[in-house]
Amino acid sequence: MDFKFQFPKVRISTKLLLLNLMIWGSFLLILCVVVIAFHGIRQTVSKVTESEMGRAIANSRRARDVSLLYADIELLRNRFYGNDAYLASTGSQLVDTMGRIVKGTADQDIKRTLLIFQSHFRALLGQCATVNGILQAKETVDHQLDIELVKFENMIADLFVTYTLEGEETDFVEQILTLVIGYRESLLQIGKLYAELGPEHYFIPREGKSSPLILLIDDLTLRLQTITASIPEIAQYGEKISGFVQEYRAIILDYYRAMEKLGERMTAIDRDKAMLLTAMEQVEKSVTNATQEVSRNIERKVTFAAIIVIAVSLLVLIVVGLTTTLLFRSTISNPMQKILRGIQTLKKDGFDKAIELGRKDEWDKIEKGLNRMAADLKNSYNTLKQRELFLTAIIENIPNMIFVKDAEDLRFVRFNKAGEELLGFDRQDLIGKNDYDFFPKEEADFFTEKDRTVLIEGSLLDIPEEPIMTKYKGQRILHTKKIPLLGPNGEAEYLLGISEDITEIKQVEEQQLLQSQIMDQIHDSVIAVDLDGMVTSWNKGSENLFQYKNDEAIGRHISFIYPVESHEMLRNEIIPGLLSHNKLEMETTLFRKDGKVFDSLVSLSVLRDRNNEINGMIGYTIDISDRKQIERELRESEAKFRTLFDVAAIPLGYVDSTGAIIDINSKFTQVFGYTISDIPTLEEWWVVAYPDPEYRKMVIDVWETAVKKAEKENTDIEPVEFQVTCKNGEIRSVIISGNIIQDNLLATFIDITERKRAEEAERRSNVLYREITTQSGEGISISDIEGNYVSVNPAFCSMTGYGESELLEMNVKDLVPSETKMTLFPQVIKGKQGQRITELEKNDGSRFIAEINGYPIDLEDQKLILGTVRDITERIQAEEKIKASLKEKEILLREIHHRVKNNLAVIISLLNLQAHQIRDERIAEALRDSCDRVKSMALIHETLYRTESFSDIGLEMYVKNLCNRLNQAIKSKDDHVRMMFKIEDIRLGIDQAIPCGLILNELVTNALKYAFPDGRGKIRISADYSGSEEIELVVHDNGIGLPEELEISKLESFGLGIVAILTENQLDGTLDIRNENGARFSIRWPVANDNGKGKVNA
Amino acid sequence: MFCMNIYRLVSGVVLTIMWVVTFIPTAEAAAFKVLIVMSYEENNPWCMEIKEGINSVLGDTCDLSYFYMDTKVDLAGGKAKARDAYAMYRTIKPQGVIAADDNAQWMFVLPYLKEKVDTPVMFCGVNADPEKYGYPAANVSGSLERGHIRESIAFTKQLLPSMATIGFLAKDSPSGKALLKQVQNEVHSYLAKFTAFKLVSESKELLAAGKIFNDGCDAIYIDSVEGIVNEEGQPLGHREITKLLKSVFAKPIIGANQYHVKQGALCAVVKTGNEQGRNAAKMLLQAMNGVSVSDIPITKNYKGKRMINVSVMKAQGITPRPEVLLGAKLIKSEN
Repeated sequence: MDFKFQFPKVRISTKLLLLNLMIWGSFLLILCVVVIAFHGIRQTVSKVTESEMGRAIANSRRARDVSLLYADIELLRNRFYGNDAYLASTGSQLVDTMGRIVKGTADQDIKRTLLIFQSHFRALLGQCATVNGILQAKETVDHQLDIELVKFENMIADLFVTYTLEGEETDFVEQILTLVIGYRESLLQIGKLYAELGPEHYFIPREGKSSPLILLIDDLTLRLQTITASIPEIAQYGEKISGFVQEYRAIILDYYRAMEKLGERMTAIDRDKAMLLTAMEQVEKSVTNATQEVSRNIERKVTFAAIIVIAVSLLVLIVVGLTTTLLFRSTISNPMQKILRGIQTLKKDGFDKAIELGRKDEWDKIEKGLNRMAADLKNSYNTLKQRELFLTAIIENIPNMIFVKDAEDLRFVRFNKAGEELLGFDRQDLIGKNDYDFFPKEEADFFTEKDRTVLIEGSLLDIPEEPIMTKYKGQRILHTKKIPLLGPNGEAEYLLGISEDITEIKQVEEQQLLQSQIMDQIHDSVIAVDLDGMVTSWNKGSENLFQYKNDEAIGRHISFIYPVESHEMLRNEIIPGLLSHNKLEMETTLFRKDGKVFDSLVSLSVLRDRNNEINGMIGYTIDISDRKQIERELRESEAKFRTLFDVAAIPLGYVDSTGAIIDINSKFTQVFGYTISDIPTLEEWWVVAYPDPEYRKMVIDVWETAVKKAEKENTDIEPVEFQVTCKNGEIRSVIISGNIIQDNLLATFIDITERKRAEEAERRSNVLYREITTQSGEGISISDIEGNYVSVNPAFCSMTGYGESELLEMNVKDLVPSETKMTLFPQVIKGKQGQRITELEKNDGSRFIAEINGYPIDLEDQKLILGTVRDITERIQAEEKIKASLKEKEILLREIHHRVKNNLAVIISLLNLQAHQIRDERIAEALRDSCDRVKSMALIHETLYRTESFSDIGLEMYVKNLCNRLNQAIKSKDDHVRMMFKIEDIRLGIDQAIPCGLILNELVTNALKYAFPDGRGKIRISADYSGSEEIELVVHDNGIGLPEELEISKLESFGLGIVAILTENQLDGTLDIRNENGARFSIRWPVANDNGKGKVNA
Repeated sequence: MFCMNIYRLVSGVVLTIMWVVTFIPTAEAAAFKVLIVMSYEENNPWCMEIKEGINSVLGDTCDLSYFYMDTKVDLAGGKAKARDAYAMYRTIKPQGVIAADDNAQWMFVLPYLKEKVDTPVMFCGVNADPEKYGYPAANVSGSLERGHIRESIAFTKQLLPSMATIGFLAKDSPSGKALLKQVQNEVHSYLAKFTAFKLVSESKELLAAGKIFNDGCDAIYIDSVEGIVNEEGQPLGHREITKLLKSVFAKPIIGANQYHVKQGALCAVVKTGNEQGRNAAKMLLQAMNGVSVSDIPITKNYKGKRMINVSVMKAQGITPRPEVLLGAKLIKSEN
């Protein structure tokens, strides 16, 4: 684009000066606009400040005045009580202040409100004055009340004195005095309460009843009511004081009303204050509104000014921008483009043309300089091209591969002919590409890594070997050197590589190395000697075996490893023998460097050259010292095994893979009775040991399966139990297992016959125990020492009502009622068996009486408690019934004996009566005797029902009672007959007691009546066991004795006749009568057995 | 003869001196003979209080003869008793007479003594207006008995601020009717609203009235109830009547006399027989000492005593403020 606005002949500096002037003018224009805008804003703000702010300040000042005024009113409200002077002065002062405020107020709303406020304040002052008037009245009444009360008290005190002096009753006056004290206290309380309540209390409208003050006054009034029941003087005072109290009450009520009104006035004042504040807030709001309006005006003006400034600025920017662009293009951009086009033309045309701008300003000098530089460049380019041709010729003729890579991307930039031949690629294919385009990735990575190393380190890198895959020659080994080619600034720009193909050389070297390694890898000794026996090869195995290093052995005669005594054999036999037979193997002893001799196996053979001519010998030597040692130890081990085999405590058999039994030990023979000759093979063992074919077949199958499994899993043969028939025909239970040792088998036999028998016995015992416990009617339980049940039988479950599983979760304590103390269990735990009868609780909560036996059981590893439980509830109940029945029968027997005794007593009475009525003395005497006899019988029954036993009596007590009664009944006051007793502890059944008693009655009566004419004497009565079968009763007096001619069989005396008859017929006894310093009667009778007619208790 | 006369003279002088020494102090101690005629029986508590008051004034100086008309027990026999009393008056010829309570006035004083003899007569315990008996008379003055009803109600209200209504109960007798009249005169000044005044003669009526009061008022004031007869016609004492009343009336009972409170009333500003007796005795002493009866004005009892039966108070569940107990005598129920 060609602009007309060029002015090529005007200087660039002039053009720039003109442009600057234009920019300055634009800014001046903007400045003018801003100044005018701010002038307008200043005028608006000044106007607002003068009008609205003035109003706001005046309003604030008024608010302050009103606040001060109100604070003074508050002060007045709190301090005016009882202070009229203060009220008057402060009130008028505040009214004046209020007038001034009103006068200085321009706002009509506020002024109107202030006037109302002023009017209310005047009303408040009036009400305050009213309140003060009431307070004054209250003070007056209060004072009068006080005076009257004092007078009243004085009067009562005088009365008290007068009454006392006159002897009048003073109780009444005392009561009045106490009452008055109470009145005074109440007045004090009223005053105190009035002071405490405070003015606020009275502001609230309230009924008299809800005022605590009025309540107190009313209470006092009520109490004053009773004082009128007095003498007129007192009653008069009472009424007077009561009147004052009522007056006081009225004043207080007035005070309430006045204060209530005062409260209203104050509320009005507060309301006015609120209105005033509201009015002032309105003024503030209007000021605020005006201010906001001004603010909006200013904002509008500022916005307008800003728009003008922006518009002018944009206009200036556009003009300046256009001018600058045009100026730049004509003055700088166009000439520059022409220069660039001129340089391109120079390059294309080999610097033969010149640059032409056609300007006369500063660009003219630049045009001339460039044309001179182009001419110099043309000369330098020609020189450089000749040098390059020379270098290329050298590189192409070098036989090694030469290549150059770009340092940045490692692309080939140059390749010589030798390189093309080596790699098989044309130069055109290689240039511009990198290693990854021709070689496998691993190789390309390798080349690239080395290239980078060279370029980074900036020095030559010699790579002795690097494989490379060629197009036609396969993989080759190169020896490469890489050098960085540095640029003028010292940075590497290219990489030069020179590679030599060393593939063939490397192949020869590897072949040699392989052979050497093979020799070294042979652990055994390999030694080569020439035909003279000189060592030519000595491998690592030889070094290890003989302890000679390669260089110590090479060149020495082979005999240095042979003992001296073998040298001759070596020369004369071994070497010639080898040469003639080509091979030789022998065991011999050889020397080590340390002088130790070892056993060795030597294999020798001859070496031949390419013409198959022997040119040396080679020997292969193995150290067989260990093998020899093992052979010796094996022999010793076998001997030990044999010993162990024979002396083993269990039967053993050793069988080879063919089934031949190699050996059996002595225990085998001892247990089974067979010798090795009896069972040479396994087949024969099967037949004799398991004669039953079917069982044998089963045994063979099982055994062979176990053997196969062991072979397969390479384990021992699992134990199998069989019934083996011994040689003597006995069948034994045997567990057979085995080990496979190589191909042989060692069978192990464990005889468990005795153990099986014990197990069977235990099993039978367990079955028996289970049967016993199951079938037992008694509850059987076993618990541990903690009391937890470990076993219970069905009977125990049945007794307790719990299931077996439930009981096995329970403890012994669970069955014992809470109130019962457990004593048996602790005893048994200590190892003492015991028995208890106690109650146990069933599952349903009922109880039963149990007879429990506890036994400790000591096992090896555990202590247990065996308990047997028997439900004896029914037995106990039956016993209770029996006891009750027995008791009943005892009562019955007692009653029978009692009645018999009573009947006998009636008979005695009848006999006595009859004896008294009969005049015949003999008959009367006979009746009295009968009476005594019956008494003796009655005494037995009396004794029986007085004792616990109702079937027998103690003889001693009976005899003493009977004899003493007879003595008392028969003796006269002058008689002094002593009774002496010696009676063993004998108990007689009723069948023997009655005849015994009758006998004794007769004998003692006779003795008392007839033995002692002088009324003095002794009667000895004794009873004892005569031997173990008889009882002897003796009545012996020391009286005048019996008549000499007395014959028992002819006894006429009825009494003695009775004695004889009773002795013989009732007691089955014998009677012996004799004189021994008096009469002696001895009666013997056999001891009755338990089921006989009586019994005797010792 | 002379000797004999001398002897007689000396003996007479000695005897005279001895008589003077012996009898003069006695004559000083019994300056006046006084007959006291009680309307009720001797063991009536009211009579006993009156007697106590009289004795305290005249006991040391006068020869006191008491006569009991037993009109509580036998009202009908009162007139006969009055005749007996007059016979006694004529026998002992007293210098002064005290007649206690209304029955003695109309049965004894009016028929036999009022303005019929010169002997000064002082009455006491009279509930009725004095005009009813024509008092004061030339030879009759005395002390009226006025219950402190208003004060008793005020006192009860201190104990029981919730008390708003009050009923009254008395025997249908002159004393009871006099009480009714007093109540009618004062009722405007009572601090509790008057509900009813029941005059009863029999226990049946008493129980009926008690039931009505139990439903209609907060307390009742009783006085002059002695002599109400039971179903057998036997007159009952105050104690029995209070017990009977309490069986149907569960609220406080206000008494009038000291023994009322002792026998089961809650409280009262009591009048005492003692004051009645003392007043009459003092007035009689004045008259007997020469003051004209007409110069001795009729008076009444003034000395009300505040009494509270704390046994009843506790039973009623009343807890008084301490101020109420100030100046009050606290007693417990007599067994």
